[in-house]
Amino acid sequence: MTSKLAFLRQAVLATALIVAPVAAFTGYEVYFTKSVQAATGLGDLTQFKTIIADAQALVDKGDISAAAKRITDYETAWDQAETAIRPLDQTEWGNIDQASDGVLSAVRKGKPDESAAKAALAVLMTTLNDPSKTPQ
Amino acid sequence: MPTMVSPVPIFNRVPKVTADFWFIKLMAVTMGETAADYLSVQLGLGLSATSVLMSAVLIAAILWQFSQKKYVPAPYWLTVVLISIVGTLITDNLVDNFHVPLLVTTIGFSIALAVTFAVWFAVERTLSIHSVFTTRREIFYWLAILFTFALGTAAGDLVAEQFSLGYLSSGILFGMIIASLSLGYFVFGLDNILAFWLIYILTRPLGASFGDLLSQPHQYGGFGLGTILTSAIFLLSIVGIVVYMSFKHEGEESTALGD
Repeated sequence: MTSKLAFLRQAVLATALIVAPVAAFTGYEVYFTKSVQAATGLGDLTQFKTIIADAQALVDKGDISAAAKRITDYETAWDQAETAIRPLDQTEWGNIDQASDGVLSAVRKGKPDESAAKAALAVLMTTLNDPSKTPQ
Repeated sequence: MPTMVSPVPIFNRVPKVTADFWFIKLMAVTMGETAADYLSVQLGLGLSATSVLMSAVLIAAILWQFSQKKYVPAPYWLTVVLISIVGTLITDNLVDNFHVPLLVTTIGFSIALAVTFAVWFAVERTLSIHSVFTTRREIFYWLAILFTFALGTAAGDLVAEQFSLGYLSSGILFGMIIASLSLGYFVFGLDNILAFWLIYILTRPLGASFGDLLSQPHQYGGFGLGTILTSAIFLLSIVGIVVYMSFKHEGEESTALGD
């Protein structure tokens, strides 16, 4: 670093060396993986929708305790996925988490109310289908 | 403090930058990511309690490192691993508890790092990592390292979040930039100190992507090893290499003249 010019040369070289691979990578991503961009910022939420659909079917049959078990599966899956999906979109993640809490408290009451459970599950399903909207 | 005017060798207090150095550095950051995740989520201590606890352990490690007055692998790498964990926790805290946007933390840590380098250069007239043989230089060195970890974490999360890249894709991206800078150093005459610090920043997001890739479940594109197993594998590898380095006295640098 003998002169300002040498310093400038190094700065330009470093910038070019960083920009080149970033540009190549961006070009590749845009060209070849356009369709990978999922509709929702949180990525694929199918596994959660599947469990909630199961729970809805069980509540419809009037089997709240079986539905509660399935919802425990959901809770485990949702908590485990936090690290992976929360950073993708804090707001959307928060919306689903809020709707999930609603379902948990509805089925874990001392004497769960079938219609309240149904309503909470419906809200959660709506939120899973469109996480950008705040529940209710 | 008495000034020593003698041909007694002056020890560089930080290691020489070898292939081993980068290998263990990468493992340390990978472990930092998964261990921070394990401590705050799975162990249920919560983010705040974990941060306080790990910061206390880090301070103890720093005191151990500074008392050596030369490069000793165990305290040096323990400090790096702990800075990696605490750096991750600090960024997570700022984002989760204080809702500071990642763009703000990225710019903030860039400024903090630039100021550290500016003051370091103004005071010492060098940013050399081969002549860290006073406590003042060592303070600059570790301060710069702390900010490179924080910046690497914030910038890596920002890229992953903004562009919804998977762990593998972001790993490939950061790997490509590091390869390009290495090429610049070996072929195009990129300054060694500049190349060192840039790559030091970028190994953090590379290691984090790698750690998440190994530990996260299959449905998110991970290998599903879990944070405990991933952290344990890397911790054991680090301990193994540090023991090896301690016996081989590898990475030690000394000079009779100074810089």
